[in-house]
Amino acid sequence: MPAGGEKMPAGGEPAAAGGLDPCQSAARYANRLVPGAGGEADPPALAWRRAGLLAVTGFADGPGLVCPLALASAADGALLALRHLAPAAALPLNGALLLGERARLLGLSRQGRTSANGSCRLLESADGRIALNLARVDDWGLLPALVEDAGATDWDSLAALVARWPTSALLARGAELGLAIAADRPVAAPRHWCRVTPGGLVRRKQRPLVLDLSSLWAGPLAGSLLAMLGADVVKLESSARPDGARGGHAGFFALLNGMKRHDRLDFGDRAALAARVAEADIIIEGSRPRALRQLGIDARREVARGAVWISITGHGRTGDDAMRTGFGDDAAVAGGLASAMAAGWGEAMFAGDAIADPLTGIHAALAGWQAWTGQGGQAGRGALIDVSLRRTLAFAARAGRARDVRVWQAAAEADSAPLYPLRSPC
Amino acid sequence: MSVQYKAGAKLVSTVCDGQILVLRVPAVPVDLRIGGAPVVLASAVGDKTAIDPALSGGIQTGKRYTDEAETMEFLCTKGGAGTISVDGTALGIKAAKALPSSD
Repeated sequence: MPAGGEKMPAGGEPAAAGGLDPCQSAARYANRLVPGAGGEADPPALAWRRAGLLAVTGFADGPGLVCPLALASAADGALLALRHLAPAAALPLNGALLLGERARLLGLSRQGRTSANGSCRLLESADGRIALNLARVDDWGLLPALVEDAGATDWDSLAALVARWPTSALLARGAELGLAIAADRPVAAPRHWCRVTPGGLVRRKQRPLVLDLSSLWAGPLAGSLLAMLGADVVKLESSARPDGARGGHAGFFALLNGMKRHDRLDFGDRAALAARVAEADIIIEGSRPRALRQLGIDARREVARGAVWISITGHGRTGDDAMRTGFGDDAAVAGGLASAMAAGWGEAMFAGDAIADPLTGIHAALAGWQAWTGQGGQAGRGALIDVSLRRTLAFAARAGRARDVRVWQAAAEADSAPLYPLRSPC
Repeated sequence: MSVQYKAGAKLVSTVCDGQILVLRVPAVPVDLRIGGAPVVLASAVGDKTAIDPALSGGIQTGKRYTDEAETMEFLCTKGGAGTISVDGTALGIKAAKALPSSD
């Protein structure tokens, strides 16, 4: 699927490399993110396997599959770039292992057109295909309004009703309802992986205070990486709505949040929340812009005073996209993942486990640290960093794309190296 | 003026900017108002009338509104000055959606 994706290196891959991309996918990607960055990494198909991602890619009754997009190399490359910025930091072994660690800890398995965690499905619309992620129990109550039929009460009835509506109508209504819904279509890789709006100049502290307001996976992962880079990270949760991941796997939660200070606050206390935001050097949040505005928090004001604001959303902060909700699997589909799987394997399906989440987490940490250290010296400029799951996934395709996915598959199947060691929480 | 509404119907206030989407309604006609005046279909907007001061608490974009017994539910898609009422009883904000444990 050559939809604007990065051209593969000219000429045939050498037979010695098993027909794989040269091992340079991750290094080239790192250098694209941060000029001068590079280093050693496994080839994309082997990294995919060693990260444990075959287990969560493919159909339940078929073999574990590689992804024709070199997403493992993108993760590796983003981590290499982070390492280039902070050579002394104790970072994870590589980026790819971060993509697979939740699935390995939870023992998830592949389910084809259902996401590995079970909450997201690919559904046929009247004129295409959508991904719908019903991650929250309350989402089910929105389905009758989505398809204008009170009979939409389970996946089967929903699938039949969704098939009556064109994708555009489902997306528009789904966005209004706050559902995580996305169109499955090929996506051209964007030129940039995030949008950065510069802010005011400020004298930088030696060790930034990071306020992590995010939940689930991408934001907390970014916060944990900043902690590894030496930042003082405070995870601040709403006492009314704490991070839902607390109800999930405790070991996984500890991996993402173990090295942070933890605090809770009634977010209804606007003055207290504003004070916490105002003292932070870097803010990480994963809300739609409207949500924080309603709490009286204005990202632009913080950026103007020199703060680095890392906004992680499903689809970005601009235009209609700012209203959309997105989680890892549906946003990955919006970024072209299911379409790439269809191009490679003949059938649309999910790949990995909410893969846009960890991929975005690494990229967000990189963008944040770049903005923090970017000016050099003691002066720094504030930055509003708009990182979206969809855009990051689409951009990550620039790490490479298999010309013949079967060659990558054969290499992965012939590989007998152990999986990357799982991290243990500190 | 009771009307049988349908899930997915888009309704607008005749006294303020408020707009709501029907998520769930009982299978019987109800007298649905915003700011004291009956709502109309989004496609049938006319001139605004006066708001009932007793029903001027307002509604907020993105919030879900429900009755005490949770027999019905509406999503506010555009905030306004009027309060939603059904058969004379004002509706309140439903608690925010619980975050999922994984996505």
